[in-house]
Amino acid sequence: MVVPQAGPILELVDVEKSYPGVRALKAVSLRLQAGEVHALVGENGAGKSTLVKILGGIEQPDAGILRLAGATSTLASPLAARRAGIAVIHQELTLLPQMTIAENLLLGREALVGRCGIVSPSRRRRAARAMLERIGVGRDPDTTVGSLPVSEQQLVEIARALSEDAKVILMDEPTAALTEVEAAALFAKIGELKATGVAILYVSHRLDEVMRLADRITVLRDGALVAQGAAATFTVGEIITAMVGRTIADHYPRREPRRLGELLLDVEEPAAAACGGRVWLRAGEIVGVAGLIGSGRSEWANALFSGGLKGEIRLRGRVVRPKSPHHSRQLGIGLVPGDRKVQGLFSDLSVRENLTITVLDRISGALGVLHPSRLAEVARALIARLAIRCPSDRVRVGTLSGGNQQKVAMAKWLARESDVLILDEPTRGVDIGAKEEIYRLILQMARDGKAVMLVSSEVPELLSLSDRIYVMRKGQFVDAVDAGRSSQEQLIALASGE
Amino acid sequence: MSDRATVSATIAREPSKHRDLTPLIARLAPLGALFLLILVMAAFVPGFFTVHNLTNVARQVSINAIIASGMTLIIITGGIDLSVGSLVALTGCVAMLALNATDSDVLGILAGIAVGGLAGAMNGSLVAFLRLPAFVVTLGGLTIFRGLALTITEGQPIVRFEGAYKWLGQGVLLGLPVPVWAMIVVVICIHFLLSRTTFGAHVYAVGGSETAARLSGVRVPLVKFMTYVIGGLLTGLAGMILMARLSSAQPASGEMFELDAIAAVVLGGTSLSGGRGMVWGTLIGALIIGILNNSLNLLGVSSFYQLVAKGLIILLAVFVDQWLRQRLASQV
Repeated sequence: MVVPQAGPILELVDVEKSYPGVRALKAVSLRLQAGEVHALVGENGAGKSTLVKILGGIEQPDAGILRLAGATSTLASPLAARRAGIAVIHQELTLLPQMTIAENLLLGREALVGRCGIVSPSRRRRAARAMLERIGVGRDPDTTVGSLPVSEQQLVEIARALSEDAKVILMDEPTAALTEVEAAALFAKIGELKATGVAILYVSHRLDEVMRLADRITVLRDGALVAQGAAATFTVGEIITAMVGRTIADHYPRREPRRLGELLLDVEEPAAAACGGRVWLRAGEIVGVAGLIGSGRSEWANALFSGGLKGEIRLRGRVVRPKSPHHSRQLGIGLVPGDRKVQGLFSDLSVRENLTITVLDRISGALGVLHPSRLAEVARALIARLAIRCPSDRVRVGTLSGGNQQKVAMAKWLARESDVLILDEPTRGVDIGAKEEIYRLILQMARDGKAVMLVSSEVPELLSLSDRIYVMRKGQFVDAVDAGRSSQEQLIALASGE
Repeated sequence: MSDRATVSATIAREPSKHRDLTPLIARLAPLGALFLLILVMAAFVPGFFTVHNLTNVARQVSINAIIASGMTLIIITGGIDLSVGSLVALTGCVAMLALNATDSDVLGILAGIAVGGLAGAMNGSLVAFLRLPAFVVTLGGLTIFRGLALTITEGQPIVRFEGAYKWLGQGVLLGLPVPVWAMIVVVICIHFLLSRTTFGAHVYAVGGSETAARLSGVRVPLVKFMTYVIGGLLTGLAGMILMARLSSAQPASGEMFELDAIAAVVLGGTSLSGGRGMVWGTLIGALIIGILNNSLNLLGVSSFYQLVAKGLIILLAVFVDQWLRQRLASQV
């Protein structure tokens, strides 16, 4: 056991960061000691990712001081952060899957194992083996990285970080893609790393892990530090209270009674054994789907829309088999995807082209001939209905603000007047103003008798909008709760398996 | 050499002065380049700016422009078709054999165009339904179609001096050569298809983002497939015109036509990465290439140098396209 040195390895003092429309970090201070695991927890949007980006050199703080081993410093780029001994293990791994472990470990540092640009494979293999041994991985360095399970790929990343003399390792949701057994192995490794004097900043939603691993805990909420201290002084309940903090804030709409209609969509789902083996939506109902990132929420919603579900699907009582998004669209099911930029929109096409894409078959004349005036009419009506702010319907969608882009992505499906609308993270990355407008839209859809499935990471959003909420964990529907009688604490506990 | 420098300088300088006009300039750049090229050639190349020569240029350009119109659709969806040159030869040979066998001009020509459509359907199925890379599929098509053309003709040209079919390549209608009329009709049709039909909107959507298109309910494979079929049919038409012009089917004809077609598309401002482009741009691109070839011919420049010149122009066009794209991206 290395005795922790007196001063912190890394210290942040009053760090601030703003993005247009959002104050992502408000005067956050944090100290990391050698040989400790410091857990960073908070809901989505609390500022964890921003903090990780600042420490990884990807973003620069607007204000505040960063000290490395006591000396004031800046991390101007990801390379600068690595040189300063800070390694980030991201959720998405950054290894090259088609290359071997040895090639990956020495990527960009081939000079260490070669001369005049000629790499010696045997020296590279030896160097890689030494790096792997340091964290106790017995794999052959010539193994292709892509053939390894994610858990081992993570270890390869850690080995690379250590070989670069990392003193601080940031782990961003490292267990999101791991099985229980793999996670346990990772925790053991984290214990070993601690013993060698490495400081670990552990970002996670999973409070059981946090309680098990952390020496100290920092809780962020809405970009501000709300609690900080030795892990032993917290209970899980206290952490959840700190994370949630408030009752449902003002910008969430007040719950209102809704008149529910007939059963619209009824999906037989083996993974929903815990809630009767079925997932259903009624007309005029908003059904939430809660779960942590990686719980399979979006995947399930996507499979429902794209035709990847195994169970029987009934639409208005009739058995249907959606084969493709096209087929689902004809059946009256729509999906607003979570990844707006790549899946929801055509960034390089105009607002008009984006808005009309789902209804071309309805507004075209014989032989698919389109009339520009008709397209413009449809686009203008949607722009007015959703209050989309854009200079004209001919500008590229990519030039609009995030909130307005999201409104275009939704308007596209509103145009179709689908009976069932699946919304995946409809308010991710949009400012408060646009959020409120999107909530109003969702409520209006329900009033119009649509069935809305709202997949979201924002628990208060789910609670204030939904009638019922399904909770997913590790690909399974673990419970279905009545939103009016549930609480943030209950949902977070269900989603994280407490 | 000086004329090219002028063209590039004009294209490159204007956007920096009018930042907000970049999209407009990106659209008008090919037209401006063509206009400037004509001015320069008219001033410096003796015999260029005559009715006879310009008609000649239009006739020479027509085959490439027709092929390139189909290629425009394919490239906007993010694909490519390298097999068009060989297909020109194959459709010509099939048509001539059918013509000789049936003694019917109409049947022969229909057979040729049908073979073009079939070949496009083959390429399209492999690319769209089996998801093989378009580059490799059509590279295969390139040698298959050439091989078939050589096989069915035993490697020998088939000449046929008599017959109404020659009108397609050699006839004149209202003062313009028939191939030029064909080119005009094709460009107008494709323009209408792209700008005024559901299919056209889907073509842009697929090129803009395949995932977003799929999730919007666009049948992406079907759209891609259709672009290759249309490309094949138009290549067949071009094959008929070439056969009619030469009064013969040449199994070795059409070599490097794919490069001229792709060059015309790129010069016309269509992005090789898909999602953006217009067929009138392609027509302008084909005209630029044709005028360049013609002027260099008139100036007595060796055809070897002409190849170099054409390559340089293509590089320049890709460079300008990339540059404009980055400007557009930075405006967000």
